Amino acid sequence: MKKLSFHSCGNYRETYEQELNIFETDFGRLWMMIFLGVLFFVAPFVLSPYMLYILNTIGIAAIAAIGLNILIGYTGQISLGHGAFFGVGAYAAAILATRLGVGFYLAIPAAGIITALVGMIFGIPSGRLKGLYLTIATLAGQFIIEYVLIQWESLTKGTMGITCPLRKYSAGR
Amino acid sequence: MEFFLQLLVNGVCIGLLYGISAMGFVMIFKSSSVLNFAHGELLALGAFFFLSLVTWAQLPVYVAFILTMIGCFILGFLIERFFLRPLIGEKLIFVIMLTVGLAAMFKGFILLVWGGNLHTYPEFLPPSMAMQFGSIYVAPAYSATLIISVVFLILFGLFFKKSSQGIYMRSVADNQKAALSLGVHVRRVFALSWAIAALVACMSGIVLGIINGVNVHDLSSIGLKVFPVVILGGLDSIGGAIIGGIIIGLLETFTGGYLSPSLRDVVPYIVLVFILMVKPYGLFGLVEIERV
Repeated sequence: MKKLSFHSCGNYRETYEQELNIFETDFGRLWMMIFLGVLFFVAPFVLSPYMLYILNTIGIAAIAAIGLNILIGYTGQISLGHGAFFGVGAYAAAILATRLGVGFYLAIPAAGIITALVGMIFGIPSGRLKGLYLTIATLAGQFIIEYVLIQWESLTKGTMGITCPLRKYSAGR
Repeated sequence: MEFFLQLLVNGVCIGLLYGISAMGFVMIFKSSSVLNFAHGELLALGAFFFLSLVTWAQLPVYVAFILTMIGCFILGFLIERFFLRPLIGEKLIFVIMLTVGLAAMFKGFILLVWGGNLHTYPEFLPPSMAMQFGSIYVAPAYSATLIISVVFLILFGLFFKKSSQGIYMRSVADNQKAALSLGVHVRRVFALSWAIAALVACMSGIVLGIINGVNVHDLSSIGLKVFPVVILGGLDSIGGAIIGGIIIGLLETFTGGYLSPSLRDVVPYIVLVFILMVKPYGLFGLVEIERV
């Protein structure tokens, strides 16, 4: 029988794989499995639409936080302009879907790639700066992206915003 | 030409205000190397305290002004004591996130108490304060700005040059360990620098409120405009903050006047990125930045 793993009473990690391990203990893995099972197979049938909306928002924020985790957690570069990239991705997907009629499953990864390209441009300062100065540079990037998104009206429709075509997932509702 | 001169005067007045609010920011950074992202909210808190004292409590303007300054001084003191002191010596990210959190907290508090609408102060500046040079008109609010900023510049100059507390603050900014070993009460200096920064912030908040009206979102976005100013002037130079403020103020008004009003708010940040790429330590900052 496999030996169960518990939290060790100190930092005994020896490899990078151990450092990056998501589940340190078997109980953690078990509970995560139970949580995911409940989340996907029980919650949609039990909860009210508003609660589901909140759960979705939590999930979306978690995806964005993973990006921030890569920046701050793994590479130690503090970014305060993360929300701007959030916006760039949303606009890219919306423009692809409304203007070019790209389907949902293609628009999402394509928006990711476009945002990555924009991120490369705004990542140029990180090649020269660190610490406080980089933080301030990302803050400036946030304002500049926000300005472009609002002022480039021919593409983004300015402050009006773009309404995405809703994909009908269920015919019943 | 007239238009140009008018813009010049307005730009210098707004720039002086930016410079003064940046001065508080630089003071905190210099003594304790904390980037204060809550500066705009401190500004807004000062403006709203003053608003309540003038409109709700119906106090005379001078009394309200002095009471607001005392209140903000105490507030800055308390912020340092309760929030910043436990984090002395912690990593950069924790301190930055703390001030970002403080900013959100103060903003929420203001929205809760005063709401997000635009408030205005009752007219209390005498119209005789307006100045007229030939064809250039300086509104009372702008001339008040000019007077207040010059008075405070002189006061702070004297404080840092003559008073013992001011000299302690300069010594801590120069070399914290040496100051500590020579018997300077470094923690008191940290607290004092936060208190003075809050006081300066609230004062510039009040004057901005006179010019633009009092609104949480406007005032707190001015707190972020401090960053271009301090980077341009050098993060640890108080004189640089004033000159940086004037340059940014002029840049804003000229962009707003000649190019487009919408570009006005984003120009400081474009300049900020440019300066960071070319001369990150600013015009008067200490050259010690490491390149990656």
